[in-house]
Amino acid sequence: MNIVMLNIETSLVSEKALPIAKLMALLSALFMSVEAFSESIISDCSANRGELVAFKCIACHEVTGNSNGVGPGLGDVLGRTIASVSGFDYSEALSQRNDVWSPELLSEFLLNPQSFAPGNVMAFSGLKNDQERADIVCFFLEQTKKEINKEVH
Amino acid sequence: MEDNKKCDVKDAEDNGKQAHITRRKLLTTAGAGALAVAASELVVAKSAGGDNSDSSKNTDELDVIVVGGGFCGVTAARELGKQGYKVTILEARNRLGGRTFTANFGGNPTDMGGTWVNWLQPHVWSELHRYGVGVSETKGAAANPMIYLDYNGRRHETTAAEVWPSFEAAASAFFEDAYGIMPRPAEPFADDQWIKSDRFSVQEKLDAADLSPVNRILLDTWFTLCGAADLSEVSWVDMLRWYALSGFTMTGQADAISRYKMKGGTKVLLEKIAEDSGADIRLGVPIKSVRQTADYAEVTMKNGDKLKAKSVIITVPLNTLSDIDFSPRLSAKKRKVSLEKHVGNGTKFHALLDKEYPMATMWAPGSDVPISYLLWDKVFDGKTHVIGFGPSMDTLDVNDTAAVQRAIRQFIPDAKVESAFGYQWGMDPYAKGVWGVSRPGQLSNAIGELQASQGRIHFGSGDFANGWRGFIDGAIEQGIVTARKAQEQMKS
Repeated sequence: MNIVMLNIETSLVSEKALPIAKLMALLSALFMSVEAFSESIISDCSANRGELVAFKCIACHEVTGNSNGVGPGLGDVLGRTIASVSGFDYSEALSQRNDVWSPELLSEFLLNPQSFAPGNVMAFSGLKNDQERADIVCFFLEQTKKEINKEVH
Repeated sequence: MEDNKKCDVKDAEDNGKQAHITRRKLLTTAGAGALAVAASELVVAKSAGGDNSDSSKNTDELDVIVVGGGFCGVTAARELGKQGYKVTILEARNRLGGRTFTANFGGNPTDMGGTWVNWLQPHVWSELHRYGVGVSETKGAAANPMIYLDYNGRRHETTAAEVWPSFEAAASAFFEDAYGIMPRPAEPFADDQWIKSDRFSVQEKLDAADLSPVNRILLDTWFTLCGAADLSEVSWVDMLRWYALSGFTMTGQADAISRYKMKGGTKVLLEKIAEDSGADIRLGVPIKSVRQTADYAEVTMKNGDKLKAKSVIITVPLNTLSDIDFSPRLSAKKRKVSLEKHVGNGTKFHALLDKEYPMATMWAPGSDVPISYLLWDKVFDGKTHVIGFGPSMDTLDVNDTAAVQRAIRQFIPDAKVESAFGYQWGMDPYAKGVWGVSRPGQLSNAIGELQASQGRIHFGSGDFANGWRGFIDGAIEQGIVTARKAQEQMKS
């Protein structure tokens, strides 16, 4: 598993390091975590199905961009430090988490947001369906891939 | 990595390309729409004026602090702002609207909370005229085809033409002497007969009623829809009030609560009122405490910021009132009722079905069903949009698409749910439930006290309005009333 490496690499992103470091971190996040994620959580996931699952989010979140709405923008959520979007007022519960959003952590959060960060204010009981959870994480991985393409070009 | 474990990010799906393009368009538009909900220029411009952490600057200037930016709060702010008072609205969430919330799905404004309005609701109807906001019809609410489940879960088809006259007569019998009990349903203090009659749950009355099997099913379903809870917890008189406010007919009530919605969603009216208020609006600032002295009232936010004013209007939902520390303390009765909570805590969700289905209303009785009432909303892009209501978050996980599909298939056996989504009001710490619904003997014995001011602090919420309690109309009513009370207090 590459989970430990993944966290080390993606922590670069939170420090707003050089673009090349960010690019490398994103690449690491994507390619390492796809494997780790698909092996450790579910054997099959689909970004296309995840796009439909994302309907559950879009009342409050922009999922293909990074603007804040009722909730923070999620276009670049993977690889981002938890509760780090500037200009968004996070709950204390979420602000206290010092991790970086990896596929595993995002999946854990989406399974039960209140267990992940008790007292957070997101009115969402969680995605209990393993397939849907895997699919939406894949959808966000796809967004990350697009971010990388933007950086490259 | 084995091929069958490959994470498919190439959109190789069983759905056709055309469908995918449509979905992408939907999603992209929806994201932008979600932004527009919270980040209207009005809201962002006002909330970003970050210099309000220093209360001393405002001490002598601010007249009124309104806590809560739902319809009650913005209306109170508008009433006072138009008269020249300096008002600040403090809202815990990152959006205005309270238990109304218009999201945007593919260009379709979609209300996740309070939605429908009617000319029988005088306060909101007046506001629609004032600001030139139109209504559109939820045609499915008046559909002739009906599908219902019996108590064994078996599916039946009928029509409104066939069953509605009998249903109307059954409701009239169920609310026997309704006119005697509640001749003036929008004036709770005009006559106390309704208070004396508030001793029964809807369940007790249903169990005692002589009803045909179909009428029993339909009444059970209807009251579970309206009560958003197990009927053993829902006040019979509270449901009688909805009936009385609707002109003592079920036809009137069905039209009043589920047929006409605001064009563009509730946010259209909400933003017009908020803008008209001229108030300073701060979002994302939950309240910790409210303190008052002989000279002023002070609100402390959870982030430590403080604001002082001559008057404070608290418009938070009843179920969250006790979460704020008041000094001097909240009256014992206010605190007790807030802690025991009103019972409205059901579910509302939207689902997109993969093809067009004919309109119908769909009914299922009991408090253990996943969906009590399924409403056909519209067809667009070859899909059907339905809106579902259930009695409890425990009987349906609205985030589990497969569970929603199973539940919808009880009514539409071949339905394929493409997506399902709802806002879980019961999970929202600033709502802790849906619309206000009284327990037997609860609101009737507390409404006067819940509405009572405590010095410079005034209390208003649609949950304890005089008339359409738990509705947008009741929230606007209480916004007007609390603004008047604050004004009287400031003048005295």
